[in-house]
Amino acid sequence: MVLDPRFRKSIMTLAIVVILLSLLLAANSQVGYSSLIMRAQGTQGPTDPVANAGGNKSVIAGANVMFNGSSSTDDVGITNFTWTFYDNGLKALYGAIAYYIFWSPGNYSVTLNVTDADENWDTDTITVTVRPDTFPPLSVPRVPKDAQVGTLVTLNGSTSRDVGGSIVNYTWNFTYDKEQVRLYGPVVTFWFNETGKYKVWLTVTDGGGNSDTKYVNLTISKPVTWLGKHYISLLFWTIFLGLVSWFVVRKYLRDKTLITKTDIDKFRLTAKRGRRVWKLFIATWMGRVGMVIIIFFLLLVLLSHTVLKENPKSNDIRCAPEWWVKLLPARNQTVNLTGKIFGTDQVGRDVLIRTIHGTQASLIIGFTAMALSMGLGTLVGLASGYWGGWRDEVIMRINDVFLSIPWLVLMIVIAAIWGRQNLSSVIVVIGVTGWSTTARIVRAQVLSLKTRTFVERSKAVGAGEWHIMATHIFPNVVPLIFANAILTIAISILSESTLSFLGLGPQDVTTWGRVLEDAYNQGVALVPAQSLFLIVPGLCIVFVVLGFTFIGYAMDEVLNPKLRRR
Amino acid sequence: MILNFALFRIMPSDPAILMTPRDPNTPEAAYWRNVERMGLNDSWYVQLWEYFTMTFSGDWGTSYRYDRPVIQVLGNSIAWTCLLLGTSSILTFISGIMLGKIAAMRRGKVTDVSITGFGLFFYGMPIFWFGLVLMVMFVSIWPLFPPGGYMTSGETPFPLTWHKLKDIASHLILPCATLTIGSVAGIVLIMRNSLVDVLTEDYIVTAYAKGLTERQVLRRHATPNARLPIVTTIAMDTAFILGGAFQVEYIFSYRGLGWETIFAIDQQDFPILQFIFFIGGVAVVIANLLADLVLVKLDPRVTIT
Repeated sequence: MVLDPRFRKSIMTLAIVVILLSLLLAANSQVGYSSLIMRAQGTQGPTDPVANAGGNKSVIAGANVMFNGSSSTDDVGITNFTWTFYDNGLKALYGAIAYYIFWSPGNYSVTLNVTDADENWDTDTITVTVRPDTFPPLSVPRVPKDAQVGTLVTLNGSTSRDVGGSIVNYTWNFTYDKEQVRLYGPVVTFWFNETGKYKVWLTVTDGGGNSDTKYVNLTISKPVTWLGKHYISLLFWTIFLGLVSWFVVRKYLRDKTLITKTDIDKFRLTAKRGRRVWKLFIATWMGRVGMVIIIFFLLLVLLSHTVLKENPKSNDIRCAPEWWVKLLPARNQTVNLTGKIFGTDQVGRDVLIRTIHGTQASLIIGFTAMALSMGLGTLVGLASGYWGGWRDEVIMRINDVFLSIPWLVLMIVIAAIWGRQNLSSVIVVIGVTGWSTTARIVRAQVLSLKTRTFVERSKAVGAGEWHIMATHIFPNVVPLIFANAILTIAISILSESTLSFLGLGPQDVTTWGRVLEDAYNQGVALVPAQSLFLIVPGLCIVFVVLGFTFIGYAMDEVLNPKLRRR
Repeated sequence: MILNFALFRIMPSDPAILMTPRDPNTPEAAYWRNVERMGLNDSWYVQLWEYFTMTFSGDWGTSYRYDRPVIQVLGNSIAWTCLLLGTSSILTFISGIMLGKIAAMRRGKVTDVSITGFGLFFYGMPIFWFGLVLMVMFVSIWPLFPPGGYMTSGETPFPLTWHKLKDIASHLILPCATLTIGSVAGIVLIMRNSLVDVLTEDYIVTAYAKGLTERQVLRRHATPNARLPIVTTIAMDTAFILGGAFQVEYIFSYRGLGWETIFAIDQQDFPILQFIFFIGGVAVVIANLLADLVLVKLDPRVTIT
């Protein structure tokens, strides 16, 4: 094939850029590596272990330093890790991974001594350079914005952080009843018995003596009335009922009866079509398998709160939002599985029960994030496809940005910036990062739909933009996005588990990703006997995702007849 | 590109959001010095302009955590990530196309169903979990491979020797396998579907009618056309593959870009994050450009205008 000359030129340029870049990187790695110096001490016989304490470290005073010796190697297996610190006298820690805090700056040597089953040993010494802590900590007072009179208010400053080091002192300070109140500790409680506005100050001090102060406003008010408590739901239902009644009244005024013959025919047609779709759907093997899997997990959700006994020893956080638990049938927990099948983890939480409970949160996140991203994607797609012009251009460029940034990085950064990691914030993060593909699909479909004759006709009759979009274009887009929506559930569940695994998941509920994260953090991956802790929740994720994917693919085959001959 | 511009617009506000809301009553010299150093007290458009000019002049800032220029901190990481991603994407591409072909040829038979089923199984698997499972299997139960890192710690890759090369390879196998198996499924499914699509076209029937064997038809007539969607998909999936690589690096503590990202988030090291975002965007743009160029080569209907 003959190449276009311009094309050849661009390939050449690209090649040169790549070569230059790799040369640069190669040179850089050499520089970077020469600074890494390792010292190994001790004599080694043929069967001796090889101690590896990790490289030299440079840390900030007050930092909780992790020493990891798990890359030490041996032929028969290391039985004992001993870390020796010469910091204000001799101190020793045991275990493959040890944590130690150096409080004063200076140079310290840390020796790792490993012993294997044959009593052979080896040592490795590293130098830890402790720099003085000059960067101030960040005070994060977490206080409810408002509380009722006579309630115990929790002042939580435990999320305050210090770059590198750790915080040694928390001081809470506010004026209550014309007196200065001082409380100490990361989490304190206080009874507020008088109404008013309070400025609550939190001062945190780190090991280097740097401190930071910040305040939050706390309003103590009289007990809320029933109206005050329920006004949001009242508003919601009023608007909802208003809309419904408006629709009904308008229909009645137009047709003189509520249900006309055409409506019945329409309904029959829809039902018939639905039955046909269902038959085709259930005829595919993917549809059947997917249905079985999803029904199994839905049953699990139902059972988890009604039958299973909760683990009395666990100090686990609640597994699902309160409103969701209330929706489930009355609790009559009789089955006690604690520690029976897969055992409990190091904190005493039963792995199986956590996994089963995790189903709820994972499914809730899957469905709501799907609804969010689908709604957003459909709206954006409809708007940009139908209007076109500069609006389309702007929306599509924004869409490009969302498509091009690695979704995981975007998600991690949003989650990290947001800071509040609860169920709803994670849902929003997943929903916001997931809409771009849907928008593209919808836009493409809308572009082809809006040139069809029925849209032209509708325009000629005098229908408005919104009417055309809602009644002509949207219903034709639905089958296309329906299959996509189910696939999005799968992706949302996957994203959630990834986020949770990286420690950025919801902190207020238990999800599968969180169970996995806990297992990983406890070092389960390197203990063969406990590997089930990883495998059980992971398999759950895989199967739920598989189930939704199967259903999605089957739906795709059924709803898009062009594919049906496959 | 507008896309890159938007990227810059999003990024510079990050440190400001996290660092500026502080109490004015307790001025602390250390803090304000830091603010001065990071340039956080400039107005946002000044920061944007600085970021813009510095990016193009090759000065990508200084890491808060390491106190070293970002490019020095991340230089090695980029090389390691390139090694990991390069190996695994080549493997993914080759094995994906082969498996897709097999599945499409035996459409509806057991081979097809099992390849599609397993494809979907791996498609629905969290990559980090698969990495953990491989780790449990091949590191703790049956210790074939080292647990993590890109090579035995303390060693330097240069000067390169045969022994060191073997060391690097043995450290690469597990992450690479995880990444490949995790991302091959998408390619297999697309390849199968587009091949199945192509195989129902009229010209394939013509080719069979001419008396060509199945092999010939597949090689000369079907595959060239079925290959086109793959190229576009790979380019579109670059972002996704990068995400996978990040997870894999985290699991195997393979100190590439992903590992650094997660560490930087943990330490709130914004210059590093900014740079990684920049690199990600550039990588995606380059991938799309490459895909367009490859498409021009593969598809005579597409021309550069």
